[in-house]
Parts: sequence; C-alpha cells; structure tokens
Amino acid sequence: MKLLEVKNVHARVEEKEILKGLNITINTGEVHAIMGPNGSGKSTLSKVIAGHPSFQLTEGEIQYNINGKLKDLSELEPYERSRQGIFLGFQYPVEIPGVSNLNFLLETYNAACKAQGAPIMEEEEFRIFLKKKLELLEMNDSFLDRSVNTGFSGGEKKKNEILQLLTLNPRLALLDETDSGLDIDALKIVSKGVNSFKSKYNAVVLVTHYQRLLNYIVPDFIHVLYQGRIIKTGGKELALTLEEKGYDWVIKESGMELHP
Amino acid sequence: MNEVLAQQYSADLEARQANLGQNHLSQMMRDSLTQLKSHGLPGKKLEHWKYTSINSEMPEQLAAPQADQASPTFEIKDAHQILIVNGFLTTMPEIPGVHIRKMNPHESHDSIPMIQEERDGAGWLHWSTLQEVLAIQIEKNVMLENPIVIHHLFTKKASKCLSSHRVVIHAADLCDLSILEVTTGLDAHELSTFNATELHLSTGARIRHIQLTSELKEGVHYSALKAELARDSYLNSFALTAHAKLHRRDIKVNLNDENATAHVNGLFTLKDHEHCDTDSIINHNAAHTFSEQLYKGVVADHSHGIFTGKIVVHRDAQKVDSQQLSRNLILTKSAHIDARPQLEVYADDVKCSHGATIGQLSVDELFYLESRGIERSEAARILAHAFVQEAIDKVGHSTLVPLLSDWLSSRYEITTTGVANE
Ligand SMILES: Nc1ncnc2c1ncn2[C@@H]1O[C@H](COP(=O)(O)OP(=O)(O)O)[C@@H](O)[C@H]1O
Ligand SMILES: [Mg+2]
Repeated sequence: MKLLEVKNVHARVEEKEILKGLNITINTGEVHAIMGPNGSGKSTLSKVIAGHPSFQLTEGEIQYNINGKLKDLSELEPYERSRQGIFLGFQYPVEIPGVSNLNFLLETYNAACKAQGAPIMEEEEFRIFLKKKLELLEMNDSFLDRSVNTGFSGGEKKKNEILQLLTLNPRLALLDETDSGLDIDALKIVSKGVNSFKSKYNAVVLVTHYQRLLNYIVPDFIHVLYQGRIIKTGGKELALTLEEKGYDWVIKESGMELHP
Repeated sequence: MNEVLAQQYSADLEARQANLGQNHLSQMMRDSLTQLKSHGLPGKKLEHWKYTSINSEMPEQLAAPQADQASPTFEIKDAHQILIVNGFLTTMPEIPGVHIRKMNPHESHDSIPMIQEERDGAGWLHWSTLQEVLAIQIEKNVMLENPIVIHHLFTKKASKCLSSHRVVIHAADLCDLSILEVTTGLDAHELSTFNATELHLSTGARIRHIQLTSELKEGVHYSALKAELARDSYLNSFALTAHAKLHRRDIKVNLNDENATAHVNGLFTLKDHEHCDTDSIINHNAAHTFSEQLYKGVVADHSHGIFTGKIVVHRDAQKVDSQQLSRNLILTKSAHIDARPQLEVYADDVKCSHGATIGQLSVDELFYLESRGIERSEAARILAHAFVQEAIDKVGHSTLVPLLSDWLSSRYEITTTGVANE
C-alpha cells in the first residue's frame, strides 16, 4: 500500500533552495535508506515531511495515506502529522529538564490514542506497557523517572528516540542519523529496536552516512541524495559500492557537477 | 539630597525616629538618617541603578505600618515557622540549639554584630526606618532536618506604608540548615518594603537560603542579602520573584577565607508592567574560594527584567574558580531584558567564566515536541517550564525543589502567545 509520495518537491529555508525537485515513493512494509554527502538535504527532507516551520514548500506536493486515502500533508500541522503516524527521530534530540520521560511518553502516547480513537492508558498500566520495550533497548527503568534527555549521553539520547518510536508505534518512521556517534554495542541495540518495530503495516526511512548501519537494518532501497535531488536508487548492494567507491562516480553518472 | 525626599519625607523620617530609645540599634538608625540625607534616594544617575527608577512608585508618606495578625498562604510541612506581620514579629518556634529573638530600637538589648555598610540611599532608607531586627543565632554543630521558614506578611494595616525589617543570622561552626524567607503582600495596598538579610557563616557552616517574593502589587520593594563566608563554609542562595510590581534586589557575598563556596542563584518571572532588578556582587577575598551563579529571567507583556552580576577576584585570591551565567527568556516582544555580567579580576591564576543569553524559545526545540504530537502552545508551555525548572533545581533539595515549583506555578502562569515563529 502506498504510504507516502513525495512529488517534485522544492523546499527552501531562508530564501535558499535546498530541495530541488525531489521524488520518492514509500510503500508499507518497506525500508528505505537515504544516503549522500553532507549538506545534500537529507535532514531537510525528513524535516519537510514532519512539517518543520522553518522550511517552505515552494513547489510540488507530499501525499500521505490517511485511512486509505492519500492526503496533502501541507494541510496538517506538525503535531497532527505525528498523531497520524509520522515519526521523526532527531539527529540532536532536545533536553527537557523538569519533564519526566514517563510523563512525556504518556502525554504523547495518549494524545495519539485520542486522535486515533484508541483507548488511553493510566500511568501504572503504561509502565507495564513500557517494560518490554525498555528491556529490548537495554535501558534501566530509572530512565523513565529522569528528565527527558537531560544529561543523557549521546547513545542514551538515541536509545530514547527509539523508545519513543516503539511507544508511539507510527506508520512512517523517519530516522535521521540515528547511528551517528554510536558505539557498536549501542548501534546493535538501536538496530534491534528498529527491527522489532518494522512490520508490513509500516515503513522505515533511514537517513545515514554509514553503510555499517545497513548491516543491521537491511534496506529494500537505497537512494543517493545530492544537491536536493535523488540521483540514484538501487538495492541493498548499492551501499557496499558506495562504501568502497564514494559518491563521486554516482554524481558523474548522473551528469551533475561535482561540488567541492 | 534628592528633591522628592527632601520635601516629602523629611518630616516623616524625623517622626519615625522621634521616639527611639538609647540603644545600639537606635544609634545605628540615627547615623543612617544622616547618611540618607547626604545620599538621597538612588536614581538612574548611579550606574548600578541605571535601569530602575523608584520615585514614581514611592509612597506619598513614609508612614510606619501597625502591628497585626495574619496567617501564611503557603505552608511547608514540618517547618519551623516564624511569622513577621507588617514588619513585627508575631510568632516564633522553639528550636534546640537555635536562639531567636527580636531587637527593636525602643527597648534596650544586647547587640550582635551587624553589617552597616551601604552603597546608596536605598540601603540607608532601610536602616533609617527599621522597625525590628530578628536575630537568629545557631549554635555550633546544629543540623536541622526541617527548614526554618520566615514569613513576611502584610495586611491592610500596612497599606500606604513603608515597612522595614532586618533578619540577621549567625551560623556557628559546622552547622547545617535551610532557611526560607517568604515575602507575601496578602491584602496590603500601595505598600513599600525595604528589607534586608545578613548571613554570617562561620567555619564549615552550610546554609541554604531561599527568598521567595510575591503578591506585591504596588509600591517599591527593596531587598538586600549580605553574606559573609568563613573558611570551608558553603552558602546555597536562591531568590525567586514572581508577581512584584517593582522589586530591586541587592546581593553581596563575601568569600573571606579558603575553601568558602557560594552558589548564588535566582529566577524572576515577570508579566504586565512588572519590573525586577537584581544587582549582585560576589567578592572573592581569599585564595581557593569558589562561586557559581545561574540567574534566569522570564519576561512577558511589558515587563522588564535586569540582572547585573559582578564577580570580583581580589589581588591575592589565587586559584579562584568562578562561573556565572545569566539566561533569559522573552515570551512577548514588548518585554525587555538587560543582562550585564561583569568580571573584575586582579589575581592572575584564576578560572573564571561568565556570560549572558537572551532569547525566545527555540524553533527547533518547539518542533521536537510538536513532532511528538504536542500542540505548539502546549509545547511552548512545557519548554518555558523546563527553562524555569533548571533554575529551581539549583536549590538541590529533594523536598524543597518540588515545593518551589508548585509555589511558582500557582503564582505565575506562563503565557506563550506570540512565541517565536520567526
Ligand atoms: N535552518 C537552516 N538555515 C539555513 N540553512 C540551512 C538550514 N538547515 C539546513 N540548511 C542548509 O541546507 C543544506 C542541506 O542541509 P541538510 O538538510 O541538513 O543536509 P544533510 O542532512 O544532507 O547533511 C545545507 O547547505 C545547510 O547548510
Ligand atoms: Mg543531516
């Protein structure tokens, strides 16, 4: 089933065009990886889909499947997109001192339930609901009583993003460099979390620099994003070639100019 | 002498001092009046009063309030409670190892060491109009589990008056306790207050001092904190102002001997046309002394918050470590912040850092919450609370921190309309 369709999207921030006619289609059950040199627009793409207010869509359209119908996303506020099952895992998660992780998760979980007409949960039930997810991510229970991301290490923050992913159980997970800065153990745990989330009802988009992550979360498609466009799409083998030969050959092949 | 003071207050001040007795305190008051006459009221000509003018909010007359009874609206379970109503002591507890008494300028009393040293007329006005001094002497080694709470309450009988009170605390060697002062306007109108607190920390003493100020809808409210720290002593000071029309707070902390440490933190949350001006001086007078300061401000509507924080490291004070940060959140464009971190270092081997930030809520932080399904206005509220909470957390006490958060949230509602969208 078609979940997301990005059609000829042009987007700008502060008068600077970043996405320049980008197309991508994502179906349920698929894992897509988006790779490309720094500054290509990978984070921008995920922010535009989630609705970051600093980025303006100037041309094209993003359609998203809500109740079996494709709907123009520009009509939805970011919080509505979230409640409709779009999740963005942040490259730099925000610290919120004074708000416990548990309350934060519960508030966001119940807000999504209400929006989708599902029953909400009380705190005790919710703690039990979280228990397995914490175990899977090898996170201590005490995480729930700490303030959101406050004083967390880089790895803990990324795990916390995956805990939110598993709790909110969205239909579209956009994970922006979830693997950056992780040691191998944390990378394995995070991958385990993402793999347990993956199902035929949802889709995962991994934004990454490193082929390494794709050893643990195997993608169906790999897209190379350069200068605001997707210049190549391939299967999982493409990651190995990119790792070996870099991006230059793809850029040349696409007929685009190499920027320093 | 300031014209307003000369014409309007001269007779009032003489009248307030007319029936003083012959004692240590009354002599200090008479000397202070002489000082006040030569200084006048502070005005914008003084660098450290650059942003605050008190003349328009000063009462017409400097009448003294009458004694009254009142109960606090904020209770702390198991606290040792002291009530001071309209500047007069009404209730005090019995605490083993702690001696509490009042001194007034009409009766004779044994004197205790006090710091009579002022920079300007605000301090001298406080001394000149002093109604009572509350002296608290804490014996050596006394550790109190529960805090001492001093409520400064004001009733109708303090309306249109100027109330002046001083708390002097001497903490002997190695004692350890928390003291809260809670200043609440209750139902007094057009009240002004000129209050001060002195803390004397002897060797190894550990004092947590918290000043809460609220419900002072009109008038001028001046409060001063002076602290003297001996060797190995530790002061954790926190001042929180919410809902005061015009509050000026002067802080002076002297780190006088090795290994004295002061954490001098604060928070003000302002709205409407409120004005809060904090002027802090931390003097490192000895080597191996340490200070940390986090002062936060939240301003909405047409309010104006000011923080001037000076850290002075004197010549022989080597190996000093001092960190200072002023962080401010502007919720409405028409609100205003002036932040002036100042560093004066005369020693060469020191570690000092200071800085100030002024800003709106960050778009990226808001977006993080929105992307988790939280509406923008609620996201803004959560982030503003988190901003405030970071300052309150500096109190570092497991039961007082949540209590202060509750105290604040029942007095200041963070309005986030018009928050950063650009
Ligand atoms: N908020 C912003 N303001 C200005 N320029 C931005 C902003 N965000 C991203 N950019 C610019 O957009 C381009 C693409 O950035 P980004 O999407 O973060 O790339 P990637 O994630 O592929 O490294 C870069 O040139 C970056 O400098
Ligand atoms: Mg990026």
